[in-house]
Amino acid sequence: MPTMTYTNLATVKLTAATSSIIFDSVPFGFGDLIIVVQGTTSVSGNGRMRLNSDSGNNYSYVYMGGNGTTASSNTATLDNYARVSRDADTGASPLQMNINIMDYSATNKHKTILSRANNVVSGTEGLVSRWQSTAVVTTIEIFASAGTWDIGTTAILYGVVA
Amino acid sequence: MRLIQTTALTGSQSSIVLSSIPQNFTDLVVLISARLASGGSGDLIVDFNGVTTDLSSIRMGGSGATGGSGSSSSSATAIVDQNSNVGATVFANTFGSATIYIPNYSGNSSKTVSIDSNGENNGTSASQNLVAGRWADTSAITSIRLTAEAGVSFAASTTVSLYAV
Repeated sequence: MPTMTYTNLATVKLTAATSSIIFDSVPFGFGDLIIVVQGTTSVSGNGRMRLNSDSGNNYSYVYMGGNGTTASSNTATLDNYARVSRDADTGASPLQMNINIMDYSATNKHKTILSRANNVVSGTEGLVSRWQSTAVVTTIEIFASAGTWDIGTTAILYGVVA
Repeated sequence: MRLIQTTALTGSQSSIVLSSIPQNFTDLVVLISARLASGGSGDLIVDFNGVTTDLSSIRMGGSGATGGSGSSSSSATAIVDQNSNVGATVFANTFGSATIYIPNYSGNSSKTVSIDSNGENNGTSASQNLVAGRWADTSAITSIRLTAEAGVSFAASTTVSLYAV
């Protein structure tokens, strides 16, 4: 029997609207973390992430995206959040984010966050962020730039076996 | 991530169907290595459960010439990954690649799809696509059909593997 390399560490399915989805007490012992988010928000806004409750200006990111008409790219240096999607969306069309946090338990490197974000209304995107910290990731917060995550939004945290 | 099934073509074939998908996992991942039996390159078309309605997608792509080419929306009958597969006139033994990720495939909400793909012709040309797809159907996904664009078939040695998370 092949060994499953993704371990489900936590599953969130919202039964009430919330501004932030939080995974805390992230266990040690895996190589990378993967978070898969699928849901909608109360107002349109981009998806953001903070690690270990760090709201300081310690995140830099670059993204590229296409909205069905044009392609674009942008970057920010030392902002107070990592970008994991450009535009979440309201209504019936859900946002899907596949987020990788590489080497989350390494203490000799800043943390890289890779994200693929999709919404057939607002666009498809690839994003990369860097958290300027060598700390082990123990808490992950995912929030939108405005509004709340709607009821029914799901987020699953997987650990990838090292 | 558990391997569910693998299909490797021994001859050309217009479509590949991954059927009897078990319903006791959370997400699906499809890994594709494909070449077309004719033409220079072509689209990868994706639909589910044999249903060709309520499908939509947005794509962005790069050709290697510019930082990012224009994106486009697809029709309502397919999720389309444009020009992802290298064709028969492309450098020999060269295959295009694609990864499809489908979260919550057995749930009762509409289904979202993420596709990343690329193709390359020995330095002559290259493409990379990001695709957002959606099937606005609340049915659980029990089969996935991958089709080469109209009038074209997948070439022998095209391989598709379905994994479940």
